[in-house]
Amino acid sequence: MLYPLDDTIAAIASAPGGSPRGIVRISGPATAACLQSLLLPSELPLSGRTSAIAASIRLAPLAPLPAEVYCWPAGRSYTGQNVAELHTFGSPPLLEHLLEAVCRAGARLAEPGEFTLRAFLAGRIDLTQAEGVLGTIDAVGPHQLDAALVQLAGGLAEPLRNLRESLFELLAHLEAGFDFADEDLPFLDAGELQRQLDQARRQIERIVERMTARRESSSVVRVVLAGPPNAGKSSLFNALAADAGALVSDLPGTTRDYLCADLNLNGAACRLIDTAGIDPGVVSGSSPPDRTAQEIARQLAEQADVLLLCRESGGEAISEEPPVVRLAGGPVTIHVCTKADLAACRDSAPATVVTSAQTGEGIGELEHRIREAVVELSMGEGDVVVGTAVRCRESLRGAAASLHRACDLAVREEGEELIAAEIRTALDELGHVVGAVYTDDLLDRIFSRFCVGK
Amino acid sequence: MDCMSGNVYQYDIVVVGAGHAGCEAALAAARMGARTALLTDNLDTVAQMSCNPAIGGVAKGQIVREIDAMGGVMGRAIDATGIQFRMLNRRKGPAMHGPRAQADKRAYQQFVKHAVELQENLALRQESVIDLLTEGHGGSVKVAGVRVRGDAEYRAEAVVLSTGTFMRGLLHYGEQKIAGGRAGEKTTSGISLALQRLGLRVERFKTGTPPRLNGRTIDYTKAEIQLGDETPEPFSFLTERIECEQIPCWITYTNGQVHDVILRNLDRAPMYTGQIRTGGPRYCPSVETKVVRFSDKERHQVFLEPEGRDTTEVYANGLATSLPRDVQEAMIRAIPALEHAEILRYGYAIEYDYLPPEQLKPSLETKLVPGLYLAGQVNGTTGYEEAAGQGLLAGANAALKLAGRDPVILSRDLGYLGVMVDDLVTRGVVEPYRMFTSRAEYRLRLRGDNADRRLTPLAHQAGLVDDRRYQRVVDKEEQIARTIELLESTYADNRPVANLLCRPEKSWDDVLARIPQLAQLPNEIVRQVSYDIKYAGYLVRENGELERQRRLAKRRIPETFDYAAIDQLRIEARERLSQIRPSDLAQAGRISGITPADLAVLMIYLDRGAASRVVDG
Repeated sequence: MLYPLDDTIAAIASAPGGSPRGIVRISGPATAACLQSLLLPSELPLSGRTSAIAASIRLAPLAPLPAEVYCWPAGRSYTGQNVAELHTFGSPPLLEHLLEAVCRAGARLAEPGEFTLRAFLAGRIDLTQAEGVLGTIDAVGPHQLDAALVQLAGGLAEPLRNLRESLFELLAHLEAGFDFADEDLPFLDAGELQRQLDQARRQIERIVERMTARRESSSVVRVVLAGPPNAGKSSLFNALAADAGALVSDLPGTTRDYLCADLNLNGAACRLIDTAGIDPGVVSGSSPPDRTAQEIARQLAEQADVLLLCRESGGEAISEEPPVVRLAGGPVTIHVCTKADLAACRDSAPATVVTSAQTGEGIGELEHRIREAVVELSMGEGDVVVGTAVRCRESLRGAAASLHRACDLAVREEGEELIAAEIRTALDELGHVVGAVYTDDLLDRIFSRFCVGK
Repeated sequence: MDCMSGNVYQYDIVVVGAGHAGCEAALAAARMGARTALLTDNLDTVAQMSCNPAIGGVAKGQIVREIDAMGGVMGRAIDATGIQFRMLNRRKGPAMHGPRAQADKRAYQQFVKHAVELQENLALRQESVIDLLTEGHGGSVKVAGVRVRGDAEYRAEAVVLSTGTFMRGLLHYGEQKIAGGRAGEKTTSGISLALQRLGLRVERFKTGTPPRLNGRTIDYTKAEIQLGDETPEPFSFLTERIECEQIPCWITYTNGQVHDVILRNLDRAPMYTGQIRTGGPRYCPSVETKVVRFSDKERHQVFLEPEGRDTTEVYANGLATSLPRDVQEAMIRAIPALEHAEILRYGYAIEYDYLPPEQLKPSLETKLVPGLYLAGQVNGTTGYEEAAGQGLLAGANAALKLAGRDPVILSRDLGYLGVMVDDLVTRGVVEPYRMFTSRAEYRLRLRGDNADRRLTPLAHQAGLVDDRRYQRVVDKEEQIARTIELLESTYADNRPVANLLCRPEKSWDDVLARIPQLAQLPNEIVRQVSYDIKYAGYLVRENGELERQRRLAKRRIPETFDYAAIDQLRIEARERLSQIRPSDLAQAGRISGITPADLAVLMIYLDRGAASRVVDG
């Protein structure tokens, strides 16, 4: 999606909800015009230096609002354009009203991330950092926020830079060998070449691992309630999601479709999904809707990140031992006994959470366990913003594959120009991640390292 | 002749300077039918090798092949006058092979001068150019010819300037400074002043050359011998084989004592005293630069290269220096094999004017003055091969312009010449520009051995090579294609026979064992087929990037595009783009300092421009 870049955009830049201070940010050529139409005094210093002034906002029919106005002239601002921020009371309706007035004065509403896009295009931040900003905005838990902030500060850029650095060095060695065939240059033996190629490949694979998310597209952890029909899943769903809309019934199989609720467990976001019970009896002879619901339930259980495996406290223990360690690729499973108010839980393993939706028993503990799992999974994302991970994974895999082939060529002692071609491909791929070209620095490297005289 | 009245001569094209660039320029223009005058200060220094007596090398050798494929003289000249031939990088893959030869310096000059003399439509004249003539004013000024010493004018619609180091040349021998374009020769300031008057930017570079020694006084028993190849491979596609007696080169080394002499006398080296402030190349550095910059290196190589068959003059490659005479002598004394060597000519550094090449269009015509073309060292390059390549293209493009035809502009995947011209006009130069294979991103397809297949058809279209030569390449290409098809459609062990050639342990004999009828195939076709198949997989992968670049190249940027008005562009980007005025987005992306983000901004503006035109229409 390509946005126009030379118009003026505006958005509320403070957090949603009421707060002591609210901010409306404006970027673009009409910034000064917007301010002039809104402010007393109307002369604002948008040339020269960054400045902050006290002013009043005229917002009919309201009385003049006191405000602080921060101005960054083009070339000194985050987006590279004229930027201003209006700081005033943080009342949501007031800020909406102000934003509308700014738009009437010549700005338009910014699309999500558009300020960041402009900052990137102005060369203020690199691509991984831009994604760090977007990740910061979209973070759904403290760990994702940490990851985004780390990335914004160059947490991904740094290891990639080091990696490219060492590949450049290696390439410079090879290239010097081609272009200065007659010179007595330091010799890079085949073993050393292989060792360095292999080391670089493993570094890339480690970075790929760091950013390999179990969930490819969505960043929301899915917590799925599963278990036999009438195991009390929907009651548990309602207890966990106070405002859930699922009907709760004692009749087996009330929940034919599935229900969702977004939970925020003390900062850890997840989506709670209630499924139809998986009934071994539903094989044939049931109505088609039942079979469809069963199919959906099975799929949801398969896609779960966290599986809440429910059974009635009075019912038979599920034969399988609750796994202590999560199997690679499988969901985190939490065993839950429901309806503890009706019967004592039999044969429960120590890790089983005993609950009662009726009395509230165990609900707090269950929430705690879910939160633990969600946090663990969010960390499993590595310290890379999901958007970056999706964008870069292919490039990084391509780079690793090239280095793998380069290594093979080195082992077979085949044409060094082919090894160089593979390294160039790998550097190209890594260059896509951070955005760079390489021929210039390559020659610089050859000349700074080697004494070439002929 | 074309004498009109009095001292005014009328030509289509005038080429100023008969060095490696000027000769190829004049020959190319004349081959294409333009009436051409080649003017030189001194008829006895046509195509002189001012520095080392050698042609080719890695990347440079490929350039010679490209010049030859486009009808130039350089390849035939070195084949005829070489005294030692070596294929560099022979142990690396075919794309890396670089032919190099030591020349008999006088014979080489004589060969090229003779070719110039024999060329129809071409007048070689000994004249000293002192000024450029132009017509029109302000924005409509264009070139009209040159004025020479002795009250005469050469009028022409196009002028190719290939004056090498002769514009305000200044020689440095230690503290001593002498005006001159080359040792013992004069220099000119009139042309520089004319260029500046026209608004062109003129800057300074420096380069250097080592002392020449008398071989009679060298003790070769203390040096390592370096022999030529047993079967020399010709540079020119027209040369069948080279049969000549080859002369060896020799290698010796500097040592701690030499380095001491240099370091003790650094205060007398113009580069270090501030007497020379301009930039020199990082390759071919002076020996004092090598000793200072790589202080941990205990010794540096010195190649002793004979300058000809009928002379004992030896070029001491590796000892380029601007140190004063007595220090050069002391230095030589301390080098094994050279203890008693006599210096025939002292080494020196030279500063000269060049024109930052971003002032050129990709046709090598100046953006500011229509009809004025620049080629060779005046564009900030170094090397005979680089100069000759530019000369050929500038001469051809001047002739094409006069004929109202489009210029020859080689893309980067077609030739080193294309890489060089694009680098020059797109990126400019910060040091004298020399070609390296590492500058060419598509180098696996730019093999020296396939230059004719890449460029001869194009050169034929422009009128640079004749029908016979073109037909030879067409026939060759057909034979290659037929053979590859046969190899791909013939199966052995359930695999196409072609696959054998991708495996390094297999050879053509393994192919013959399976397809015996190919035994009659000429060696050259076998070679082309083998190399093509060896690299095929890599070329396919390169195609993706090539395609991306071609798509970008299709996004033309209007000549009147106003970069200054895009305030979303970084200020540096706006400045660079306004200066270079790239013709398309691909070229914009190659400008140094232009980031992918800058490109994205440009793309957005170009898109919107197109959209608004549609709306307007």
